[in-house]
Amino acid sequence: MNDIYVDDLVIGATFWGIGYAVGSKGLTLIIEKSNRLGQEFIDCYKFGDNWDCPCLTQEGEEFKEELKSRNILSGTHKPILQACCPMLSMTAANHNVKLLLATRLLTMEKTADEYLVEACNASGIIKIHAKRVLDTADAGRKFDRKSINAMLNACNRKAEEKKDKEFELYPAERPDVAYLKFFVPEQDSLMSARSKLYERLYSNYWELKGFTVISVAKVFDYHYSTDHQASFGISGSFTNPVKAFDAGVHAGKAGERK
Amino acid sequence: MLTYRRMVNGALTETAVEQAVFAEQVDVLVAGVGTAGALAVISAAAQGAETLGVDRLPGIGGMGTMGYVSGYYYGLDGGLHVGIDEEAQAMGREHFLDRVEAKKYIMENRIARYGGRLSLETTVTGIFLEGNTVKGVSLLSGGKQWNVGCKVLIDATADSAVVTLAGCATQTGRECDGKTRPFTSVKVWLHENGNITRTNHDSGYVNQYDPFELSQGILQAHASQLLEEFSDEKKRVMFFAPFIGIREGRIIDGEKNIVIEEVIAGMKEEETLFYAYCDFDKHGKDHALETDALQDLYVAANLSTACFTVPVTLRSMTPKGYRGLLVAGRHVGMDHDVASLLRMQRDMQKCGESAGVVAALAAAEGVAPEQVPYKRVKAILEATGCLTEEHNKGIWFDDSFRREQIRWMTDPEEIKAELATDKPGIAIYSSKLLGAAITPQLKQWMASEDRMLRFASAISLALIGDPAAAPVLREIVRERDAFYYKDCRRTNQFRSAIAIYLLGKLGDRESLPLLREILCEEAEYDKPLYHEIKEISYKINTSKNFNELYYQIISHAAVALTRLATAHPDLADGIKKTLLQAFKDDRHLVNVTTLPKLTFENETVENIRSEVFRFCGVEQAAEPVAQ
Repeated sequence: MNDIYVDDLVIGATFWGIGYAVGSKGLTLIIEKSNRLGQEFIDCYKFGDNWDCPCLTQEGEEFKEELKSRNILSGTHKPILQACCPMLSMTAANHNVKLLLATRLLTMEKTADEYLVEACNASGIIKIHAKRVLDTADAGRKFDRKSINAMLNACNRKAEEKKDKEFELYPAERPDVAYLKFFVPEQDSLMSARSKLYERLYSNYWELKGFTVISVAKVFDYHYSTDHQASFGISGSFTNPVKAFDAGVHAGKAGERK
Repeated sequence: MLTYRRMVNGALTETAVEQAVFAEQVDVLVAGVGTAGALAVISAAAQGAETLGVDRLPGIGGMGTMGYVSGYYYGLDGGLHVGIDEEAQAMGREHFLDRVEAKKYIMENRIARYGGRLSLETTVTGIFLEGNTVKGVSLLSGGKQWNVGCKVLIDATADSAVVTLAGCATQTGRECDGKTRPFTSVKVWLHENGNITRTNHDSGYVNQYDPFELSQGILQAHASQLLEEFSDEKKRVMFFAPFIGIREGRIIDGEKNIVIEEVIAGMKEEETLFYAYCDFDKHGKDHALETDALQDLYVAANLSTACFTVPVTLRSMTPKGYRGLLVAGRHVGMDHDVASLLRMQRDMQKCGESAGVVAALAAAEGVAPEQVPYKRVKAILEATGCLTEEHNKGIWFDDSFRREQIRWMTDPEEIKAELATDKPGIAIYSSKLLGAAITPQLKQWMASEDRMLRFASAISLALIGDPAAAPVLREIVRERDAFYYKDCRRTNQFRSAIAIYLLGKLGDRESLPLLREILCEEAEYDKPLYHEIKEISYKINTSKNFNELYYQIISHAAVALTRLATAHPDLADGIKKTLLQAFKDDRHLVNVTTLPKLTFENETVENIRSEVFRFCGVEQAAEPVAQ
């Protein structure tokens, strides 16, 4: 395999990143450390709000309308977040988006003309030359706090919205399922955060008594202040996947630099 | 002086290192904390070894947790995983809707309790060697790179990812086209009654070492799960498992490579670490492209669900010529056929457990893993139930359809009686094992008026390699006999397809017109037999958009023609013309399936077409013209 040359290298197959590749006229390559698209919402169990929002681009509108046509987005129930996984995959496939999954950023060096990026995947280390690099996945230090989220089964309880300093609970698209945000310190790893979540759930935390865990998120949910929200192309900082995708398309069309 | 090896743009590079700087030194380093690796970390740590497990994913446990395949398919219960599963099951009832999350949590806790450590979202980027002895690895996590030294390294990546860096020889996929087994993606549903179920979806073939092809395959697999409308209130999609199920990867060239012939023969080993147990669960439908050894059993004898016991030793877990390096997982030394069997979760957990024990003892004694006395390892593995003589089960039909031990037959009368039934598989394969000793009787029975006995005798005789079977086999094909044997609960074989496979194997030149007719006459598809099976049937693995019988007939016919061309060089040019004519367009494809490219069904047909073009020496097959 030879070195790869592209105009734009997008880090993270996020809603914003896929949107950028869809909107961009140049050669765009996305690298994603996991095997999945849209992790910052889907595998994060980040539910968001106001999905049925006005879009900046035609592609954004079309994306939203397709979500509606498939009943993923509806006025009668909350959006079916998990159904966005095949939806975003289909969008990327239909737009022939170039991406490398299971590929992790190793090093990045800026020269006079380009960025030289080393990334690592099943083929070993690959070298990518890019005119621009857009990191849409790294929350950096711009977030206010972070949570590990979980999908809970309400069993016989009714899932109602609740908030306290440690957690937030939101009903999902069906009455017996809820999404939990459990806030953890910035330095926590996924493993330590998971462990704290379980300990808290099983220690007579009466607000959550009766709920069982369906699944725990594979990535952290980062929370941003309103001032910072959606201001630096970090896909997860948008209020919902539609907005993130639409903003990505808009940036791609404009050739946004970062 | 150490050597540092890493892979750059697909090629192995090597650098001499005067003095490696290791940020830490551990006894046992486990790369890949999946199905096997998690148990390797637990068992090594439980033996007191300072153990570090690293995995590129954010969670441990592999397909059983991250892939959400929490049920078991064969393998035998035993060892540390049993207690973990029981605890997960109990915890699942109280706190989790499913045991998947619980199992991950319990395993992480056990690792911590034994003093082991984990570094998740961490990739091994290179390896340090002194000669052929592993000394450590370089790691990448969160943008940070560091080196860790180790006494023993266990590659539990399921893919030989680390031993490849060391330079160990590996092999990938089947002999004819290098394809590995089709991969799967898992969709998880939550039902109205609170139950969770899974849909396991075969998603096609992919070369996982071509990063673009792998990404395209995964993208297509996820995209294919998109429903027209998500509106079923009783059954909601909960999520798509974050980990796709690649069933086969690079397999090491071990100190011993287990081969199919010895598995079928009921191999014995002196220093077994664990027993694997399963059928040849190969998933693909393109049987015609498998080895003769597998087809003799799976196709000709119709024994696809027969379960075999495989004793696995440390030699199969040791890359040839390397020290301080073990593998645990579905990449132990074996051939491609055995790789479809020796990969089940329970067995892989036992593989990890035994590797962890050996590695820990080796590190404690300061010796190489192969120098650890077997008796010590055996005692530890027997104590946990990982190794027990009860696991040495032999060969079985082992499902609710049929549960009985398989014993190869030697009595001609017993063979005759069974050949006359619709379950003649054991008798057919027994005949193959008896060879010339049973030939006179088979010839005699082939003249019988009992159609079942006559046809099964011909199949048996052909399996021995006797050309006298050919006229009866041709008769079966000429009839387009749509009968299928019923030895197994699934993947039963059609008699016509069996006959075609055997005519090719015999190199029967008189079957040439018959095979040409099947592949080149457009009226072939109009024959009633291809349209009689309308319903989806697990017994013969027919699915909604895949004409199984037509596919088996044309795929075996195509491969039979390549065998005839090889056996009779004077026929080769004509046969190549026939094959190119038959596959010049996508007629056969659309007769089998209308599903698009990159789907499992489409690629199953494409695999045959590619094989034909490869045989004919045509580098790039012309793009088929739509009919």
